[in-house]
Amino acid sequence: MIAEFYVPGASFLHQWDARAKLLFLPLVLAAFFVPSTPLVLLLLTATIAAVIAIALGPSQLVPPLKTLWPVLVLITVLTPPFHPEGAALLRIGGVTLLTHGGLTTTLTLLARFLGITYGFFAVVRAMSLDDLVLGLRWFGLPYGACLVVTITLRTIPALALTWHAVRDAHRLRAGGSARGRPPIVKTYVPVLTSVMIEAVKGIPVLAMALESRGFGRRNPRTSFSGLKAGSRLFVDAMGLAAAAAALLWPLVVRW
Amino acid sequence: MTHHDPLLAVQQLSFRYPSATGAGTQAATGPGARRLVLDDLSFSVRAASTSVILGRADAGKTTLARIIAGLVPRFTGGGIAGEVRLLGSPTRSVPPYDLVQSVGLVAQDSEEQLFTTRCDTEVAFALESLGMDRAVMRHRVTQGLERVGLAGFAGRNPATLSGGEKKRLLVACLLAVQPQLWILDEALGELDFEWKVRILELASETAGATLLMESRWSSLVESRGTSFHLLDEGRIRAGPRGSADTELLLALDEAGIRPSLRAAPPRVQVAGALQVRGVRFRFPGEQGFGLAVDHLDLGFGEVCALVGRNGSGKSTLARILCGLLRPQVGSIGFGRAASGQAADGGEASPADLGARIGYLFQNPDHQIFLPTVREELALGLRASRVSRAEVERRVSQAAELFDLADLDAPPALLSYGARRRLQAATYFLLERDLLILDEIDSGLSYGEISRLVDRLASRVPGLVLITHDLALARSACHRVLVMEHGRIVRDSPAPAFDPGAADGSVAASGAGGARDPGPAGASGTVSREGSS
Repeated sequence: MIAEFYVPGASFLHQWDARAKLLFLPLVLAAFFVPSTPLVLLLLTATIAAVIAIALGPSQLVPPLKTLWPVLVLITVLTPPFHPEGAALLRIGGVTLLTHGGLTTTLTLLARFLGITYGFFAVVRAMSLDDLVLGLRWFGLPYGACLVVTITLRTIPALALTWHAVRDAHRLRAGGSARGRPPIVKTYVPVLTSVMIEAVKGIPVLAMALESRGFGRRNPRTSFSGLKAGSRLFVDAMGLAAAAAALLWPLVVRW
Repeated sequence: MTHHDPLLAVQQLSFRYPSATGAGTQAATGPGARRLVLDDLSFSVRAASTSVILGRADAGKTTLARIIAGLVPRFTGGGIAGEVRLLGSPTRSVPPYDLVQSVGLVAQDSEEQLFTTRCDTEVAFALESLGMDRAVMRHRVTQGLERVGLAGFAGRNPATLSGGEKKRLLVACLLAVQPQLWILDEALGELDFEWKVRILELASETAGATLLMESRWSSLVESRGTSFHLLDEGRIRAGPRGSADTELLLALDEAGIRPSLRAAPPRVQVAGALQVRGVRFRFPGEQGFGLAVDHLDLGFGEVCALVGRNGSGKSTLARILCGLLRPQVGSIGFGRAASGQAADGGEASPADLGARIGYLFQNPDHQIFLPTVREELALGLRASRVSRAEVERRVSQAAELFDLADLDAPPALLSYGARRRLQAATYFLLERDLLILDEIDSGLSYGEISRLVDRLASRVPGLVLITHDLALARSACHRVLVMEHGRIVRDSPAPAFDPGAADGSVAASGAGGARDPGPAGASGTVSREGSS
């Protein structure tokens, strides 16, 4: 069964045309890789976070963090030793733990990782998959390719549901946690294996479902829903504004 | 196609799955791996008629349905011989997407067929594929959803629907496309009584012909001039026959397809009971549904049926009882049966509940997931620190008892019936005081359910059987509980259980089905009928 990332709502992020959001995404990605200072990148990340908090609610800032925190911790711990350049900022017992170069690189990586994630999260959370397909098709992507994108986006939450179901099943068969918590490998490996088996099983089943509803026919495909009429101007304006803001700001503001 | 041609003609059809592949739900491995799943099968379906293929879980019904719909062997591989003619034309070389207007299938597992995130786009998907005009699509989608009682569900994510609602959504897809032949593969199992009736009415009004695949006899289709076939090990053993045909009825009885007057497993005198006191539960963010059970004792020596409409809270209660969900208010503990007192041992923790209460999920695929049957059976035993030799001995014993001949077979590729048996066998091996079987009867014949219940009851005398089948509830259980709107509204001994009783909590059908009781009693109030 397939769930989704999208959360229905009426915020300005929801109102924003799907095509403009799609245009915005690669620009956000590019902006984080334009040579800049960590401060600028952190400000960019904070701006996107503020947009999420205002449009979707502050609680929506938490799910990406819950997923990303192990990676963020790893970046924080492992980056400084590999970047010993610059003045020493933290030294214990003659060993330099943090330099200016290490701090700069760590902050840059953290800002990029979090900012890009928040950027995609903001768009995916406020854009229904139907709008995504319509937007992608408007940009000329073939329907089959659009479907791959949407199915992928639907499958990730579905795998999360499967993970919970399998974990519950394991827990019940192992007699709850009454006999103590088993090592993490023993807990997660069987569940992960089971989820992967479920995912692989789902491939032909999904193909059956699609073809039995006519996917693959040669005739032109029509669309049940459409993008909002008269939004072309809005798309252009917002898309260009977003592009200008996202791309030029880090280049112009270099401090 | 001439006027006299049948709408569907299956001629000398044989099929065999390859040895190690499959679509995930059919017997590709195990004892029947290399045997013919369908063996020289011939039958036809006339226009404007209803035909029912009856058969046990492993009889080959789903494979047959998928072959007719063009999905097998296209997605599974396998050897096929014979011919399927739909509307006079052979379908072997026609891809499924070109059969959309000829045949529509509602699969046994509705989750397999739902892949969009809104009900209206789910219904519209096939119409888009057909290149239909948007205005026509809107009309058909709206009408389809309305006719299956999902008018207000257009924007809902199908993932959030109940099992019965998902089935109705798939029927709405057929109503929108209007294929000539409707194939309903165990589509009635998860539906309430009134929706079973309504779906059959919609099929007879809309479809050119209807083909039902059922593992149990249903009186709902008895009087509709229906022709019945008994499919047994890939062959038509009896049929086409009318519902009054003695030979057919005898064959159905022998195959365990019709309900039999069997006795419930003997009640075992066990003092222990699971005690529920003042439990209240509501899912986070949920405004409508709330579970409220004031007082409930489930004895460890009795077989109890839990019945009620889709969405009445049966599965939620089951998940609370086994510790997977924690109620916001109230307690669950272990005590003496029918003591009427607070739980003797106080409130049990979720871990304690998980260790003593077993729960067989509604969908076996959410519960069996390891690479082999052997590992699946051994999982729980290993957690309980039984010696390796003892694990092996018990695994072999359970495999024999539950007809799981190939211990090295991948469970994912077993047939539906075998997966159900495996699911039951895993809990047979564990030492639990009470087992909750959540709609485990779905897709199984009466004979298969009886065998499963008897085998489980021989090891775990305390069973709770969640079902929509009242005939089964009456015949296989000691006690019947009726749930409605998150509350237990009736609690009566099975022999005294009257489905059509004054409060109308449940209505009987030959095949069983819980029905709307009208206004529920006061919060958590239970109507008791004699002692249980």
